[in-house]
Amino acid sequence: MAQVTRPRGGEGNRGQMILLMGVVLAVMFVALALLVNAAIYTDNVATRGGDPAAEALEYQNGVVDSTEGLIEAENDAGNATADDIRPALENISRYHRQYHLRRGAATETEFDIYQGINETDQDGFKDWTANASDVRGFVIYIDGTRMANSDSPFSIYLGGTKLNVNRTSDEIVVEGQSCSESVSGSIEFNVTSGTLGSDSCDFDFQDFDGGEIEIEDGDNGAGSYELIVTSDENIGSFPSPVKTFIHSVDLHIRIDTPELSYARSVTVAPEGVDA
Amino acid sequence: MRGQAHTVEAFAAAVLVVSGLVFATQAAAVTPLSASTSNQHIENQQQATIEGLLAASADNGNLTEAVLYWDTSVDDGDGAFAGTPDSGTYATGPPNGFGTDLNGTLSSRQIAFNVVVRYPDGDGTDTEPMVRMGEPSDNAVSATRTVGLYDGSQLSADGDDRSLGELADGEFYAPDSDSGSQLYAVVEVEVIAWRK
Repeated sequence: MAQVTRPRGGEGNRGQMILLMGVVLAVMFVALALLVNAAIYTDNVATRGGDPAAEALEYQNGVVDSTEGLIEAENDAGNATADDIRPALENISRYHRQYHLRRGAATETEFDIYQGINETDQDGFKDWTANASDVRGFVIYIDGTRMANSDSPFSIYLGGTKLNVNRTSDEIVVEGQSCSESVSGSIEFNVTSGTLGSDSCDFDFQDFDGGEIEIEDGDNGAGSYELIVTSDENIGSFPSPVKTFIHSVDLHIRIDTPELSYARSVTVAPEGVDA
Repeated sequence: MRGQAHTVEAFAAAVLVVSGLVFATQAAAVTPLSASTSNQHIENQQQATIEGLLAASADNGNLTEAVLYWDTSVDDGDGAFAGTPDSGTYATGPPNGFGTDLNGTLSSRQIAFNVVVRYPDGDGTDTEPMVRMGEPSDNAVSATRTVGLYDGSQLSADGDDRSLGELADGEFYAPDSDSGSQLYAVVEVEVIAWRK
């Protein structure tokens, strides 16, 4: 063991000093290592797991893309109705739920389906009756030149309201509603906004709160029309060439992951997505 | 005697200094291949890369093409992804647009990957491996993307343009999970990536 008392000449404690400095250096290096490691570990923990929104966005994109493809496929097949796609939408929701549950994410999708009814470029409309809880975007482009100049109107029933559209000698009129327009090849009769051409009609479409909507004596009309219908039941059957189609679907999606809860409503239409 | 003691003390001090240096450098070592939390950034980057790759491939239709790249005539009629060896899976990106995306984005950066297609089967799900490069490492990351398939979706392999609705039962790996509508199935593509 080295001599611990101050030796003669003062050089006997050099070994102790070296040992002491070694210990000091070792402690410094250990402290430095702990400091650097703590910084790296903190950084890693803070950035671990990537973007927590990725799972939610992936779910939204998957459901929206699948629904958009379904609407296009059903419309291409022709005469699609809500009853045709409701089970498929439920399956899309179910399959996504299975996939995301594997990663600990709970998902849920609810939807509202908007159906369209149209007839294009017809010399006389077909008669039909539909069950609707709501109607919007009901626009008829009347071809007045192809309507007979006689006292024989075609009629639209909206709940309890009957609208008779007739041609007089040089005008198209909605009888008893104080609106008319000069005869031409394309007169816009916007039923939901209550206008015929630039004329406002007396009836108020807002009064319609669900029920039957009907076209009667359609043979007396001519042109094209389209309307968007929502219904909780089967909207009915329609004679050719009246077509039904899926106009759009409102998706109400929700996903809960350990990191976040995400809910959003998205409108999916064949021509695009209104996110 | 004193000289010997000093020598021993000097050795002890040297050992302590060197040990401290080794410990410090080892403990704080950060390399891309470190099997520690140090490579978390690499994992995050890979995760973001394959999420972006899947999103882009889904948008441009390459992902749909890839899951429909199915040859019904091989493997004794059971079918397999077109152009795969006897194992039934590709050893690199498949020979279609999605494979080009995978090879260009991952293989060129020395990132290995597996691709699995998951589909509904009865009340649960089943899988069809598409690409298998090996067993993923502990630091592998994964990302998924779902693809809707419809009765009118056509097979994309050369020489067969039949639609899914025209195929007999068992010709395609995923069964028709919704026979009452135009929906055929919703499949999930999972890419698992790790550094070679």
